[in-house]
Amino acid sequence: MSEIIIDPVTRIEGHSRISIQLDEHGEVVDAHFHVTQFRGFERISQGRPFHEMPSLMARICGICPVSHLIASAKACEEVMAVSIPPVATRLRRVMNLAQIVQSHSLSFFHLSSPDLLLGFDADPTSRNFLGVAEAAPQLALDGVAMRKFGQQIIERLGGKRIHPGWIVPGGVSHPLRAEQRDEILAAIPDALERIRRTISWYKANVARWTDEAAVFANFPTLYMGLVHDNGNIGYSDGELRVIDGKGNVLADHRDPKPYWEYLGEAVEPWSYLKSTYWKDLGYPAGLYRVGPLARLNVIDQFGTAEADDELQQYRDHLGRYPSSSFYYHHARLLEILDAVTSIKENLSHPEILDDRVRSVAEPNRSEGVGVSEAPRGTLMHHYRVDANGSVEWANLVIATGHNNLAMNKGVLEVARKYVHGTEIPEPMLNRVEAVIRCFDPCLSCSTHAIGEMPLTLQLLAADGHVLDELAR
Amino acid sequence: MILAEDVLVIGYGNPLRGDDGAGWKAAELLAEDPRLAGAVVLARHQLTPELADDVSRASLVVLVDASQEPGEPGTVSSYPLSLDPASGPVFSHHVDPARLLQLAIDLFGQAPPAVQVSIRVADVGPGTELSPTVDAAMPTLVGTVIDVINEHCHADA
Repeated sequence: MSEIIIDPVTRIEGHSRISIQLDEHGEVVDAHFHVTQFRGFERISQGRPFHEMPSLMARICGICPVSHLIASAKACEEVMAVSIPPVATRLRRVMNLAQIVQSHSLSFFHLSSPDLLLGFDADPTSRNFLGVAEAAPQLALDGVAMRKFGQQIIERLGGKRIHPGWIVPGGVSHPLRAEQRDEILAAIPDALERIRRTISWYKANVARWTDEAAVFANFPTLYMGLVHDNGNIGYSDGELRVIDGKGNVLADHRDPKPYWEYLGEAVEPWSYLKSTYWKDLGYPAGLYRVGPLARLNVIDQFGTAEADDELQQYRDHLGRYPSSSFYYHHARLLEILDAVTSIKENLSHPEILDDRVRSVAEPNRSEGVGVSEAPRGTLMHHYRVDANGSVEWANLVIATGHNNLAMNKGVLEVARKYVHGTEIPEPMLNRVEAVIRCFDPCLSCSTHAIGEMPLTLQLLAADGHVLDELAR
Repeated sequence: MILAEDVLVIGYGNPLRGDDGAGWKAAELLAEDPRLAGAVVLARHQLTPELADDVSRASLVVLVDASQEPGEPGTVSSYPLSLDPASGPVFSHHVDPARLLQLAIDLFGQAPPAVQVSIRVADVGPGTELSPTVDAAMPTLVGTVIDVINEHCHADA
């Protein structure tokens, strides 16, 4: 028995490694996606006043702090037992949509487009965003502009583009000004033009990746996401819908807050990332996916005309419930289109400048759960507080944890397709990583840590000595 | 006072890691400094690809950062940047100064002259305060940035 280690995995958000177990003939028998960084935010938050939680929890991640702000604020509002003003709900949606735009843009343009444009077999020294800028400047330019579009909305609303403190328990800290609204609206046409161009580019090139799409975590699972009563996608609000790979509904119009009733959280000794599963099917059979691919499978429609037209084309091409995780990329682009349009619609609401933006209350309950959709999938914050409102206990269920079982199964699937023997060709290494990139896991969210990741891949013999090694 | 229109100053670093936040704090000071009227001053955790757009629009870019190069803590140095990128892997979340300039050329067709102003660190442990040595050198850091811009503006005049 031998083992290949990819450590750490590159072009994802955080630190991880992949191990691939080989038998005596060099064939893959098992594979694991290990998350090697440690978080500890649940413990750090103990003893903090509950109203500090949103700003504290936003520090978990520099990419999707808004998701944590929203889920955390909603959990606090459960503790306060208040409803927030309607305009605050709408303003939070705008910021969450902006974050989806910038986060999805980072995933698609900066992290994945090097593979899609230059090829999975391309020279790794140029297979990066700078290589994209050189080979296809317009694609890179659109990526830079789309990310900036989302970041600037967050900055305009919250005062800064990372860790804005604007979303607070009870609503938002200050109302929208007319000039802020108008600045954002003025940028919408350019953003729409860029995402339309990118979707066209993707559709014109998708046939190039047929082989990868066939094996990139391509298996039936359950899918989970928030959906509004009318079947529209629910990024910041909504109720839970869960379906299987054939579209059979396992749960619908379900209150997402008592997650412990329907989700289990398993812990494996080889990873700091929890593996959540659908309780009715048990562990590990109850694997499911969240995030863009899952959301497009569970919703009836987006709710904006142009995105719905693209969604219909997507379904006509891939089927109603596509199962390959490769199509997270396509789903991500359609969500950007929908998000830009939805930002415009929300900001055009006649009451968007209303100055009644915050409900104020002391703690009135000892427990609260907040649920929202992060770019990568459903996010849950759960707090218990004492009589003074100090946090006694917290639990976070993160999108990347929901996808953990599917990511592990996907790594195994790709490794079986591309890994044979005891040497490690770089294109194989890249494809094993690329299946993880489809999910756009945020390990900083799911465990919390800093930055970047050079990659080392080791092939270990049964006795543990290194047979082969690649590093970059 | 100098008229520093079209000059871009980016102070970057991690303000939660002691002296690594020196660039960030310099940006905060420079943004309030009346001697830099008209300049765009940004504080960022790191240099990201999105900054290429701002860089391409500027007539001069000054990057202010903390440095762990060997040397006396608090020492300030400045040098013009070239387009030769640092060796090592390319990341997608942030870029080194030379790659940022190259990206501005690739995507927006131009990059201005650029100067790096650095201050040697004493302590980059967790914390929001600068070490006494680096804190005492902040006026020198700010003054060096202003001198660089002053020289550029007078050369253009």
